[in-house]
Amino acid sequence: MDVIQMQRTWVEYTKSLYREGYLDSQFAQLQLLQDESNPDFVVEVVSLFFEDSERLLNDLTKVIDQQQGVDFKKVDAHVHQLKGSSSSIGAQRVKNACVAFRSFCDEQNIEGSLRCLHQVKQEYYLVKNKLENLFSLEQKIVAAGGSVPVDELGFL
Amino acid sequence: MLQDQFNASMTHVQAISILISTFHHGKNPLAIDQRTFAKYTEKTAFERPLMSGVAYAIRVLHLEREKFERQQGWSIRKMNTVQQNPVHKDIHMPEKFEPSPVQEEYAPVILAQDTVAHMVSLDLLSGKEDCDNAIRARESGKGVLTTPFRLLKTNRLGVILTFAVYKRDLPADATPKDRVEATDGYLEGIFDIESLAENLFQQFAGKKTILVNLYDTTNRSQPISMYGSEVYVDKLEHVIALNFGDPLRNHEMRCRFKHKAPLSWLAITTTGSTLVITLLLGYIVFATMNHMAKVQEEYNRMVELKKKAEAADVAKSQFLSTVSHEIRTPMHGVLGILDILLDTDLDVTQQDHVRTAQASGKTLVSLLNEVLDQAKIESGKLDLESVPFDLRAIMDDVLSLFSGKSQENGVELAVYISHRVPDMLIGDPGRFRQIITNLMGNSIKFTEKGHIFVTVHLVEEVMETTDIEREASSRNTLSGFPVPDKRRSWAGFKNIGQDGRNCSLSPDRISVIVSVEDTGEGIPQEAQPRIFTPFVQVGSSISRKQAGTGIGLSISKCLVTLMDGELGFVSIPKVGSTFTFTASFTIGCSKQSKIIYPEFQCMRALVVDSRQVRAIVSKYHVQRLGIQVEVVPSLDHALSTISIGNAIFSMVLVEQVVWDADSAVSSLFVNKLRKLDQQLSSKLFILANSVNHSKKRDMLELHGLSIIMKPLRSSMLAASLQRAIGVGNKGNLRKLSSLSLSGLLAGRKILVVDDNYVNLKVAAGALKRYGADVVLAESGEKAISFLEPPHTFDACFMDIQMPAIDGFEATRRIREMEDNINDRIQNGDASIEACRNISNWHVPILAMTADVIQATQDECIRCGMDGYISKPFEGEHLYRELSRFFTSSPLMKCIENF
Repeated sequence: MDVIQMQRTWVEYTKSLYREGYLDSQFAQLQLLQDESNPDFVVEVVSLFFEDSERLLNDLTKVIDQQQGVDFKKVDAHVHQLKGSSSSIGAQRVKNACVAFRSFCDEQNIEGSLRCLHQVKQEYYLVKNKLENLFSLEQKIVAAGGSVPVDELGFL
Repeated sequence: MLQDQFNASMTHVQAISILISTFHHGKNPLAIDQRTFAKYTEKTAFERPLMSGVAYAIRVLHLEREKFERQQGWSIRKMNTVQQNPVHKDIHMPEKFEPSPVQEEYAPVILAQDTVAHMVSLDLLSGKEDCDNAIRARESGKGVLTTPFRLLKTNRLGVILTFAVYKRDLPADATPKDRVEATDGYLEGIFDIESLAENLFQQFAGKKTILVNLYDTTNRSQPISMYGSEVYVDKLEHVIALNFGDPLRNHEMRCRFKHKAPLSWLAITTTGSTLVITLLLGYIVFATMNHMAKVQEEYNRMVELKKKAEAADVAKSQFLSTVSHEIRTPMHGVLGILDILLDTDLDVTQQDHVRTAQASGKTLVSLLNEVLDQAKIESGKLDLESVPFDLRAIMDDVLSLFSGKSQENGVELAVYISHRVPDMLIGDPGRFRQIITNLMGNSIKFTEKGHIFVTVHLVEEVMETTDIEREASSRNTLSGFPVPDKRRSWAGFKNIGQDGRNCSLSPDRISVIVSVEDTGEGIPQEAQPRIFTPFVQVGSSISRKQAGTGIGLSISKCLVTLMDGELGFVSIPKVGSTFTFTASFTIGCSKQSKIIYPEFQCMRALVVDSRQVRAIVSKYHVQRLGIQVEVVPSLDHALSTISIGNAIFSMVLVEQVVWDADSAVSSLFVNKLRKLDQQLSSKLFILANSVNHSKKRDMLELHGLSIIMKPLRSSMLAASLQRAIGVGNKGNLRKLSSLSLSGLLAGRKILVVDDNYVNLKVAAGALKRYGADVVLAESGEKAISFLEPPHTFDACFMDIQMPAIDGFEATRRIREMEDNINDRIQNGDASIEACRNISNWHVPILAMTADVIQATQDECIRCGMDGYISKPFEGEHLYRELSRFFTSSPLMKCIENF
């Protein structure tokens, strides 16, 4: 694919991520924060998000799997963290899943929490996959000598 | 009538039976004796118009006979057989009745009305008719009638009605055996039909020209004549069936004429002519009746059809809505899959195919949405939203939607919104946009040259002639093409009174009037009445050329109606159409700040345009950016205005038409301008309508001119101006807000506290972007240690929810430390020099929170925070909050002075 084609694909792909609700405007804000002085900002932040989330998800799984009673306070604190970071990068669907998760924490509902944990994980891996695709496309564009056409996301 | 009277009599007899069962039986001494009964029955005789008398017989078993006879003082007697015998028996001789022979039971009459007093002590069961009757009555519990027979004493024809009186109340489903046992006695009413019916029948038998015969037709082959003689067969007989309440007996009334008319010539002629007249009249009546019947029938059929049509209409709406909905859902699936397909590795042809499929799918979905709208409106399910919106922004959006197409066609597209229309309105922006899009879409479809001009005014403005209105008279239009008089498009509006005021509006509501004027093909005269009908398209030739369902206008009309407005149009074929609608909105508070362009404030622009309407539109858009505008009609005027030097202009905007008019004049203008004002000449803009002349475009750029493409929109115009003037590198909108934020933040040292690394990173990124020097702290403890005075921080952004020390607690502690040091400085315990010459320490602390609940905000203030900013960061909000603490930084001052 030539650069223009790739750029077009990038725009369409990004738009589809917004359309399907994987990302919200916060991600667009991140993209705007990236410029010549800070060229890898989005990738950096998102990588941090990946690390952070994976740690949190591991911890969450451990806490919930505990045989002698689940410490819902701990669960809630973790989910709060995850909610904060996912909303910071605009991973909308992860954030929404966290909101539901927290309401089950309030009810101390183990079954609901388990279901939500599953849901959050699923959404997380989905958006991770999508974002990795996006970044690899960006790398290809840059490697081919083009620039990421952030400005063409006309709806921002 | 006979039947009515009969029924009344029967009912009353039944009433007496109940009376007796209530007062006679079980009472000792008897409450009713012969005298009382006789008196009562006589006085109530009027209640029984057909009855010659009533009598009550008691049931006596043989065992009780002696006792009974002793009590009464007479013996039970047998009825004579005479009564069954039709042979004459004129004089009634009670003595002739013999004492009754031994029977199993008896029914001697103990109470009787005076008219039938001779019946006292007679055993009813000894008479055949009475016996049958009594037995039937007590078994059925209902009134029963005998066949007509000769009565005792009078020997006239009569019928006897018998009711059984029971000792106790019986259930409705009691068996006949139960009833017989419970029987206490029998009440008989005697109908002397012959004598009483005579009077009655005479009433309607008139002057005896009509004879009435009454028959008992229980036995069909041998009807028993009850009344009337002279039996002869006559075809002109009228038979009425009568029902006297006894299901076992049928009665019939037969009426016929008594006399045959005598024959005479006069009579014959008279009769003849009468017959003719009668026939004629009859025919007329018949015809009329026939016609009436037909009309009635037609009417009924119409009613039926109307019902069917209405049902069909409801069914249609439901069908449409269901089907569209059902199609939409899988279509979204199809579109989603196409999206995914696009993400895969496809070659160019495949991509093209997928894109085509996607575009078609989207068209189909939008079509379905339209149909769904129509169905919703028809079934009354469409509700309007009520949210604040910026009408100007919406118009800009819609304009950008159509700008590509209008530029392609070389059609000039423009929007003008009166300054009297408030910035913020409350209503349904989506639906408003839909109406505008629909009307403009139609205009774009059918306009190949000239212009499409959208104007928005307050309704009261259109009556006072506004500047734009005066200019828009039929010749002086945006593109110079003639247009129909738009006033005619709202001529039919009901809510526009003489003064243009809509009286029904409350003070916080306004009515806007929007006109979409085009110089297109127009609507053929004959099609004009139908254009608001759904699915109707104008002219087959046009509809072939242009796609669409023809549903848009009908939806628009409905939507306008929902907005308490009206939609009208004027159209002249080959000249153009103007659609105008009104809509009423609530005035929104204009607190929601408009996008401000601080860099344009205090600038002046010179617009060069020879056509006034166009100039006004350009002026309106440039003014929206905060730039003051002066309009001159020609380049020569422009030069002289600039050279006089009364005002300093920051930019000159020249209409393309003026520029292209004479290239020599244009070149001369540029040269002169360069000499006059070197700086200004670099800020020369051409307002261009079409990009088709790429050659010309190159030439313009050679001259160092910038081109601004029409249609003018504030964001696009701002971007173009910024790019040319050099404000912001890429010169688009978001750079603007970043620019003003940079002004506030550049060089500031800001502490960001959050326990979430991702959040920290994002916040830091955002603040660094605006030139701030950001320090990060990941806990409340660290924040406290950073902010222990003296320190060099200008502000602190603090997350609220953190483990250990949360944002509230950290702030409280920081404030304590600050108070502490301030006290010490005041008391001289600490030297002010050691504290960076600050005598009053108070670092602005802003809470970062995702929830904007009032309680949280209150808590922020209570613990000593200075405000809050929503998370994730949003430029405008950040600017607003920070501007309370910071004045422009030195960096910003440079920019302002550029």
